[in-house]
Amino acid sequence: MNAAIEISLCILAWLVASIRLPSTFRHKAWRSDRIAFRIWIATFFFALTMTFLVTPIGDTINRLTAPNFSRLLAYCSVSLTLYLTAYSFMTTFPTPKNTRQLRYLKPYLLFTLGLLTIVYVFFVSRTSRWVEEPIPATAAEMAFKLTQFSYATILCILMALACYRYLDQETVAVTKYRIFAIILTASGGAAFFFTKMILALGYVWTPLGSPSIHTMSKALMTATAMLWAGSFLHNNVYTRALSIFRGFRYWLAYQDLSYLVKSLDRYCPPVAFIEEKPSFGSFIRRSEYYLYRATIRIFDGKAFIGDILNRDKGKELPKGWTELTVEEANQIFQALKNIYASGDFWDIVRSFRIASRNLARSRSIGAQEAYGWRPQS
Amino acid sequence: MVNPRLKSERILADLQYNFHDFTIEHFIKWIGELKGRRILSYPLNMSAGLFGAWLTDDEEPNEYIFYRADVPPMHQIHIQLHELAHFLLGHPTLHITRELLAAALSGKGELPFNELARLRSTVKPEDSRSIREVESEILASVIQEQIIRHSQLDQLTRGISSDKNIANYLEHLGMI
Repeated sequence: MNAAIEISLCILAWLVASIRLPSTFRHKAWRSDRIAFRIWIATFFFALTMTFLVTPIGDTINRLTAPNFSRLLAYCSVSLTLYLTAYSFMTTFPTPKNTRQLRYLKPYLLFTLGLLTIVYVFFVSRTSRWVEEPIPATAAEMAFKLTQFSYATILCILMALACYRYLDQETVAVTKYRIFAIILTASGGAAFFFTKMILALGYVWTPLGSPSIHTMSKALMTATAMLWAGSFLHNNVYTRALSIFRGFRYWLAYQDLSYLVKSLDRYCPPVAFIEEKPSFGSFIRRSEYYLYRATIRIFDGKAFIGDILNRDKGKELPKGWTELTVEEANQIFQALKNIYASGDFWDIVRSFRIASRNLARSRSIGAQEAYGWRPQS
Repeated sequence: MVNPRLKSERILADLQYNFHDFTIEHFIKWIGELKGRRILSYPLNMSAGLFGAWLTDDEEPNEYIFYRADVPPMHQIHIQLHELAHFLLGHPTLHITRELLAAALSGKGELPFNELARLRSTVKPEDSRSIREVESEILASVIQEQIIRHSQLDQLTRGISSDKNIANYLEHLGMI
């Protein structure tokens, strides 16, 4: 890997660890919330892993200690990172299956650390300088990598499953998205470590070490690192992102509501002012507000037209109204007659959308009957 | 002339109201306590074209808000906010007595709404009454904007998670 990428990823990892440090100290997480503390330790070990993997730092450690020792340190710290993260997830999302699987985590970690140490002491420390290549140079290197990558793959799958099992129980949207981001991170990690396993097996069967698998592995590593950082973003970022996402989703709904508002404006002038239609950008930022205002305007117009249509016999029409106006207003009133008017706001919006489309359809059919053609919009 | 939106934002800031706690009843109570008036809100069958009205008590420190009874709840809340906005803006209004109010609420009398009903169709935009309606609607919309902003955050952040452990965990990690 390019030294610049190694250093960038290392800085990113330390950034994640250091951002969380003040909060960990402030809350004395090692006493008050051991799960949160474990997660912070995990980010710390991950930063250490990334440091040991920076080639100049790794070389210095090897020179000062034993041959390829930085590899043992990196692999052990990544194993600890995965263990602590998986442990935290499984205790935080306490589904029965997660609780059952939890007991196997520690023995599996100890087994992996033991195996890595044995392979290192008897084989890896005796081989020449470890040069990171997609396909291992020696059988010892292959065994070392297979031990580590199989462990990492299994733990990433366990983490993804732990979160996935809980996902349906979460009702708060923003946390649901955060958990989804964690599932993606864990799945990306599992896929990445799996490609590394395949590449390691390239030592025994060359086609497994093909450049395409290597490229895929690099892409998965970058994506996982980015998702890892994304999983730790502040809730406000998620809230804003969710709001924008909703804005995109409801833009078309707003167009339908605007059609109704425009239709009502012709027969029922707003009581105070005509609200300007927002640009797409403004709508994205305040979608709920604009939808709410449009909804209120429709309710207002509907009640106003209803008053005129249901006026006492012999009572005069408002100024400027003719029998034709009454007929046109009645068409809108009929479209709005059976709308869903109380309860969930989004159900009301959906109901208005249907009314808007029905109105457009009835106008289109009316025009065809009257003039023999149908307007296109 | 002061920009009505700026004016509204200033009024809202002076209220120092925490919109996380918003319900229409709580908001009305808060304003009442702040202004030293008892604000009473009533649904009422109103004449055609009229949606709401705010009247002030001649004898007691009371303010009366009337809103149309036959519109959906969401619309009723909007009407109450619009009328409250008139009160907050210090607009002039009609004065009534308790006797008249009691008679109107029991269906034996009528409140002086006739003038208000004509507002939408006959008043010109430059008329002072029309300007007051615009001001009031702008303040109502600014209040609504705050409610939506806070209730959205409320939904998305105060309820951090369905599980208390997860909420603690996210909070201690500094993500909330």
